[in-house]
Amino acid sequence: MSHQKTNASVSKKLIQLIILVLIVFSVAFVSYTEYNNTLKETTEKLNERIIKFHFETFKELSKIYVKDTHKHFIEEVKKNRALRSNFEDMLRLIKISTIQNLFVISRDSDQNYYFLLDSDTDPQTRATFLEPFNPLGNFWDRCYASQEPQVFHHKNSKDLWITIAYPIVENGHTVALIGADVSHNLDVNIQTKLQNFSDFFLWILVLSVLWFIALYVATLYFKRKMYEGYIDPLTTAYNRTYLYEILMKKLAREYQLFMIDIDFFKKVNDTYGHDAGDVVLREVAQRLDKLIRDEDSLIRYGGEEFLIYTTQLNSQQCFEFAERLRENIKAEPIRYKNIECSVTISIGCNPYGSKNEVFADVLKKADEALYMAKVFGRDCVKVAK
Amino acid sequence: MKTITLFLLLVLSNNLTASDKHWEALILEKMLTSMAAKKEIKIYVQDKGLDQVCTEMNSISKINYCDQADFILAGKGLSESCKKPEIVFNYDTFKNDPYAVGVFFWQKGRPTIRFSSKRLQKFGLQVGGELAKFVSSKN
Repeated sequence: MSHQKTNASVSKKLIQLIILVLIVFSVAFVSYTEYNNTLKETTEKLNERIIKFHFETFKELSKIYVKDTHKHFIEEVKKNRALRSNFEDMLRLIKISTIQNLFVISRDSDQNYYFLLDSDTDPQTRATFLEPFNPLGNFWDRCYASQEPQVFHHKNSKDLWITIAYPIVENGHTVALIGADVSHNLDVNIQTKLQNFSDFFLWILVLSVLWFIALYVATLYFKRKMYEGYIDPLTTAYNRTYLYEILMKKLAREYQLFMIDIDFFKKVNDTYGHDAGDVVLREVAQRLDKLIRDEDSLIRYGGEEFLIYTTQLNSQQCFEFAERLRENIKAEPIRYKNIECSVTISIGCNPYGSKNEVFADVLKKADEALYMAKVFGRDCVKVAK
Repeated sequence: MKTITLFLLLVLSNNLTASDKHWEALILEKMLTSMAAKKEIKIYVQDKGLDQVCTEMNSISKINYCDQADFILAGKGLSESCKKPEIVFNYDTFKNDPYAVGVFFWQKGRPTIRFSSKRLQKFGLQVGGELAKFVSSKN
């Protein structure tokens, strides 16, 4: 029925909208993920550079420590307080603002770590000489064993970013470790500023989705309301409002009109009642609708009058199409309760509709042809000249 | 292993709660249970600031008389009758207090614990389980 065509039209629009939603969502999603990946990669590269910079510094420092103690680092540091103070000054010299803690630890025969040097000058927080140090993570042991610098990332910590363990090697043995807790303040500053961009993409993503959902719902509502306003509730064919508000605005350059009238419809009403009349109207509309194409329109023009709008048919095709309509209605009687009602229709056709012509005139010619069909005894087709 | 143990403790406590008090309670409870042979441990807490920490320790009973306690937390200026094994919270105190069998403090954002093997022996105590690695013969 007309429902099907309207639904098909609505569905087509909705599919277009959904595709549009998907495109916008995909673009926003790709932008968001691409941005975050780039940010992650950049941060990792920045971290690598920072770590490399610290490694270079600690390498030089460890060389100085070993050289100044003539390869007896532990012994000299333990017995010489002035040397310890001197070495701690060196630590303070290389302690840049991003380094939170910078210290030197060693390991005793019980495999317990203890502080040797601490760059911290605050007596409240400073580690005293030989104070225990509890290593978190086994990278300190790894550093001791491998004699290679190790890095530990504190991903969940609020206060620390990374901890670096750098070995002080003497005669092929690790004697102590330089430990540095590198604050993530710099990284946080960069991340906080860049996070605004990330949030911006995220907001675009969310808003686009919300906007399109709202549009989708509004379109559905509007289509539904519009559809209800253009449909004849009894026959579900289009009504006159549709004819004048929609169809007349999208008339093809050349089109055809078929004016259809149910023969002796008043008799059906008078004999079997209005309910029977309604059944006849509904059935005729259904049969007509089945024979028209998706691009054609079936309109209930008046009480028992229907109008069919078609395009791309010549005069002969119009006649043949109208004949098919007429024969189809006549072929099967319409059943209402126990009554079988044989119904025929008269059709007046105007195959020469043109956009340049006034619609009322085109309609009038179809109506005149219908009149001729009635004059010629009904149940026939007449084509306007 | 001890580094892993401490690290796991830190991760575990981070997962459980963000509260430092809860974290401290977890470590103290571990320290006390690793030293005590019996199940019901009684502690006397001198420092009122540790009350909240104590409420988070499920298997430890806090009592009001130090002479009935198995351990003392943060002992300072205690009477003769209270000379029980102590856990202290400052490394200098740990070094100088002959009753301090263990110490717990924070250093460089890291929880630090140590037991003194000599003092444990004096009280006839032994640290069992995973914390045995923190016993030091140097103190």
